[in-house]
Amino acid sequence: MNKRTTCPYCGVGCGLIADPTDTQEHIAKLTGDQQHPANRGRLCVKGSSLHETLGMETRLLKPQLYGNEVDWEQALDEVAERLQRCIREHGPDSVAFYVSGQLLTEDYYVANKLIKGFLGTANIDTNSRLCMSTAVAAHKRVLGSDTVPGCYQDLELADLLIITGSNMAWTHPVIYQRIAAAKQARPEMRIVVIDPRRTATADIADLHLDLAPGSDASLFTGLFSHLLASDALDHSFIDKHTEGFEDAQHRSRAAAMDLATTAQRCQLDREKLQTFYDWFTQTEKTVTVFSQGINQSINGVSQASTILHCHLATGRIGKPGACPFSITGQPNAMGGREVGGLANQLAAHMDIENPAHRRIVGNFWGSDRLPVRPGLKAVELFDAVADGKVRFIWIMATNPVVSMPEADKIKKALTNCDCVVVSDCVADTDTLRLADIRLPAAGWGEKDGTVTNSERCISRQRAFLPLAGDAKPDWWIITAVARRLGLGKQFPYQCAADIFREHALLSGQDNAGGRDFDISGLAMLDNDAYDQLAPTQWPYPVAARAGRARMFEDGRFFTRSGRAQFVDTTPCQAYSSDKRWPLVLNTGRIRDQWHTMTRTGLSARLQQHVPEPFVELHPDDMARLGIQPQQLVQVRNELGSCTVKARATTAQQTGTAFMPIHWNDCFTTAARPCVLIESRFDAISGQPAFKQTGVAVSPLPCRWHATLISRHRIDLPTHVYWSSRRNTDWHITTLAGDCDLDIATLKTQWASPGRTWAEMDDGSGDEIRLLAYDHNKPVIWFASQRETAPDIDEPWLVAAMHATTLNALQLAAGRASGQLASGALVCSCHQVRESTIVDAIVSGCRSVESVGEKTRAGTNCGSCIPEITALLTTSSTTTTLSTKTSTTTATATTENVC
Amino acid sequence: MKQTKKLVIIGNGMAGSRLLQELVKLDNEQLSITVIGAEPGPAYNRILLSSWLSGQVSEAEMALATRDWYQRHEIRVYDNDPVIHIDCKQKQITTYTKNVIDWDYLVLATGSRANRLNVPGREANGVMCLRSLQDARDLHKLIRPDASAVVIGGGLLGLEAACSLADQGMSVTVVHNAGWPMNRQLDEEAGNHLADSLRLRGIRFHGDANCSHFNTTDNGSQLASLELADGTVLPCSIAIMALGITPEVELAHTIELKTDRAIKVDAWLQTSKPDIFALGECCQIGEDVFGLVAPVYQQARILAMVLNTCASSYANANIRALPCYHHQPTPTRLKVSGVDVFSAGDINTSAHNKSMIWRDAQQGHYRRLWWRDNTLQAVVMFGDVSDGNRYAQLIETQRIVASRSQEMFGLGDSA
Repeated sequence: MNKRTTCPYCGVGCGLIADPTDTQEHIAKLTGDQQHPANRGRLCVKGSSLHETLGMETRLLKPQLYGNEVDWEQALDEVAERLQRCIREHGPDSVAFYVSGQLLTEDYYVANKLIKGFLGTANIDTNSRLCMSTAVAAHKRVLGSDTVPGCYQDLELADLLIITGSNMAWTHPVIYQRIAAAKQARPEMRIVVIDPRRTATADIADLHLDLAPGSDASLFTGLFSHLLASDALDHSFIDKHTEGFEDAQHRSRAAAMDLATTAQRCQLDREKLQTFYDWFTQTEKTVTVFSQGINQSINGVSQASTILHCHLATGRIGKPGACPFSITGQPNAMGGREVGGLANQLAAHMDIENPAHRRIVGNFWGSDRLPVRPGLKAVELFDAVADGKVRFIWIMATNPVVSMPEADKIKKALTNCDCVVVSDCVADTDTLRLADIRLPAAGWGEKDGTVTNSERCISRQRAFLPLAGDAKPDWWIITAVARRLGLGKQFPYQCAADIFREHALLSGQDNAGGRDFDISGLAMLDNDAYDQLAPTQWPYPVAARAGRARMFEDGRFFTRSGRAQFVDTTPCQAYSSDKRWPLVLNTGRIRDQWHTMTRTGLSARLQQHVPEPFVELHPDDMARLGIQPQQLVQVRNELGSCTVKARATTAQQTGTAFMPIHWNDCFTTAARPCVLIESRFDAISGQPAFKQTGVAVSPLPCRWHATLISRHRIDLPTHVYWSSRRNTDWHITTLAGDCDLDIATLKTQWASPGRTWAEMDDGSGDEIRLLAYDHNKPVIWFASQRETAPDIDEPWLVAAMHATTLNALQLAAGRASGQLASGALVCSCHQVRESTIVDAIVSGCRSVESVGEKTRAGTNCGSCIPEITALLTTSSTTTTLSTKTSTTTATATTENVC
Repeated sequence: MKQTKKLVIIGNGMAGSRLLQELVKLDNEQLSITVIGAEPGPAYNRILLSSWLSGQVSEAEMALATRDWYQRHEIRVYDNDPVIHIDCKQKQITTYTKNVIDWDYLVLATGSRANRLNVPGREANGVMCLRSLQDARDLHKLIRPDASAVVIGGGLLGLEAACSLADQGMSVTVVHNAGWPMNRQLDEEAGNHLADSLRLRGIRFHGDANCSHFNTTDNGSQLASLELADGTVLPCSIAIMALGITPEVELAHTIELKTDRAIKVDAWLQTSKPDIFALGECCQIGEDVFGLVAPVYQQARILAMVLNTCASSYANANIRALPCYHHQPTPTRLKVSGVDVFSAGDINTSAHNKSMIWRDAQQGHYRRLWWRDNTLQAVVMFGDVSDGNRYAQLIETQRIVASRSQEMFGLGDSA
């Protein structure tokens, strides 16, 4: 039976329709939900590949205590016992929860209620600290509440759309596609992309400001100064609805950020900057979308607040097509904020340090033990683990060993921690490897609850598959532990709806319009109505008939005075380079991966777009450092080192580098950029600065490069680098090493599963191929060469290995007879490779649309359109060249014949 | 007025008969042709002797020409009548039966003789070669399904003979003076594969063997066993010597033609005497002598043109303007025990600087390519010979390939 649900990836929160075709095997068909307001049926490439990620093979199916599988009773008893003992022996602040924007609101609510309500500590923080806490802090300081003022439609309605610190073409593709469509319909709509990198998002930009890394604060301070200098202000709005404007004016004058200074600080062309300022000044309907480039900075709150100031000063808030817009990274970062999952929040957008709020929540929960101080924020929390102050930590649905700055320190801290409990739906993550107690959580498709997307829209995630193995919903697990702590009365939940009703009721408690977050109008939903709940934008107070698209339309803010605040936004020290680590490393997502790849890593087609971890560098830097494209390099600083492939791109400024955040020890040797990132964070929000890190990059000498395809994970020969991924039933591993390989040793090492062998041996180790068979079926395919890994046609090879119709010699070739390897995968949805697209271009396709008609590339989610555009540019040039070449050849041939 | 030139060809084997066929194609009325064969009957295909022995082909199928064919093309044939004398001054030859025949142009196609082992007991009944149809007929009479045979020499012909005997139910041992069979064409690993496949067919391979003598039955006339230098005694009623061939140059010596290992000819097959030519196994071009059929056929084609030109010209025919012989290394193909073996190029030269091996234990396939940088020098294949022609061409043209390994996998840019 079809069920509507919500995508588990980014903060766009797209609706999906799930059609489970085989619940036993966890197989389902998934399509975009035409009725969901976020996506209207569209899906990005990650969403379109969700069906490939539902299998049970990598799931954690049973609770484990210290490496042994146990039943739930034993596991829960142990968690409760360890938790109680720790509090008894070391006090309430010795325990902590570290949770996640991947949790559903109901799970989140119960976790927060347990620790803040009944354990005597506020030591709960979430991975939203790493992405949204800056936006939260800025919203609260300037607007008085953590309220996203606008909605997605505003992004389409804007006449000027500023996208800063977001590569939304890849990170929020569906919203990007909506914007691209709006721009196509209204070409006069202007788009400015502010990013040190020329990202795919910049493709639709009228203006790309490639500012110096970390100079965002200067840019927006300069903009604010310009608004003052050119009197492009909405004086009426400022007078009626804001406070602190005069101080802001003084500070702005003191900062003296005129155009020339700003241009110099940001290393921007003055004319470009002037254009940006002029456009901003002239355009009433302006939306500024900001994301991690703004948030993940030591100046994050200052930057985000300045953006809000610019909108307040021009009165561009709460109006169609005019607002600042923070876009969230995770599916339920917003839900987490709503339940108060951050250490400095309480619940339902109430503050822990506000006695009135504590009273409301305490009364509601029936607890007089609410902590009066905020708990530890993520970085401090893991520092406390490292220092032995926190001795019990329960990590839910997140992977801090990969995602936290100074990740190796986190690893060490968890290794030494008395008790690490990890709830996760998969069996192996870098963090799970350090857990004493592993709890199998329900996965997406099995969970039931709600999530809130970036435009405050609450949508249901519905279960359409049975629970895998012994897995349980997170709320169930937490509730079961709470009951073992004697809190059965306070945790009576039988289903997610019970929790949602309580959460909704709390949001309306003593509210009367004084707090932004009020969904008490949903508190009376019965189980059926909850199950049927359509996507709804909050607030939704009692007696509401619909959700609200925009906030602050009346200019009233959730501050004591009802006015928005101009606050001090003086930035701290900007990033300064260290000549030992001369390159500024930026981090971010790539198109086809999500977070630490526990889910996207299961999809073969998602893995093919960018199969290996990499660092992107400007070609000039590569030449200077003696690095060839695709060469293995070490990216390092005093904190650690990563081993990745170098990629050349002029999208990168000279002196800068970029690494994706996804790869980790489950997929490769060493590619967690977070091991390089210092734990510097914004003083107000506590959000770490992930975007500017000093590193050095140097080539890593290797004696051989290899590709290994195996049925199962097998021991690797001595290597300096490996990177592994899945393709159907096969593990594809890329390898490199610095000491010579020897076929005999490989055969010994792989004696299981290899029974008989086929091999190519050139006696010098320059080139090796080795195939192992077990009962006439190929089980291992290995090829190594000196300079680069062998050029193979992976889809062909995997299919051929599976079919077992070809002999070993044909398989060893790695590609079909008469076929060139077909290049990188461009369109993941329709599995269209570069060569096919280039052929289409050579045969006359001159636009993305015509390439789409011919090859289907780019016609589903559109995520690859920027790449098709790039191919259209490069291939049309190459076509001219190759035509010339073939003419020359033809002449030569004629001469020979004569 | 037409002036007929008399052409006499001495030898009606593979080379002589092929030359006739090429001449017939040219249909030159100014040539009057006589061919003289030492063996009885018309020409036959010597390569098929082993197949005939196994009963796979009939004698008729082996024939290269019929008596009728010679008649139709007005070719005079003397068979079973070896030439015993050549007179260069009178330009005549004399046969064993005292036929005296005039010639304007003489072609020596005397072929070669099989090498024999010069050890005690070699005269015993059962010790023989397999060179001629008569040899094959004699051998055929000796075959007894349950008896044992020894083949001395593990080259191409020896192995073919061994297989024929084994096909007849005999227990066969191949003794060879090298460590593995076909050691000129195969490297050790391929050779060992071949030995293994022979063994599966019931043929034992005895390598690194030196023959000491033949033992005979009590009455001394019948072969009883072969004894090796190390004392091993191999009981047998048949011993076939397959020890290679020696060019037949006796007649050439009598008329003082220049010889080396064989009769020296130039690329137009002309000997040191302008009116006398030689081709086939009895000739030598540069350093090359010949044992396989492909180069001999090429020689026949060229010599036919040369003779055609000579006959057509009144004087001083410029045969140097004609296409000449180009030596092309001939790949060796062998199908024994249902297993394909292929070898091309010279695996024993030092011209290569890299060799690559492919082993497929699953299928029992083996191939090895020898390269000088990116040009192929030699190849050996066992089991799967599908890419043989491509490799032979690569060796012949010395084309530079893009990827050595792709050539190994049959995916070269020539594929």
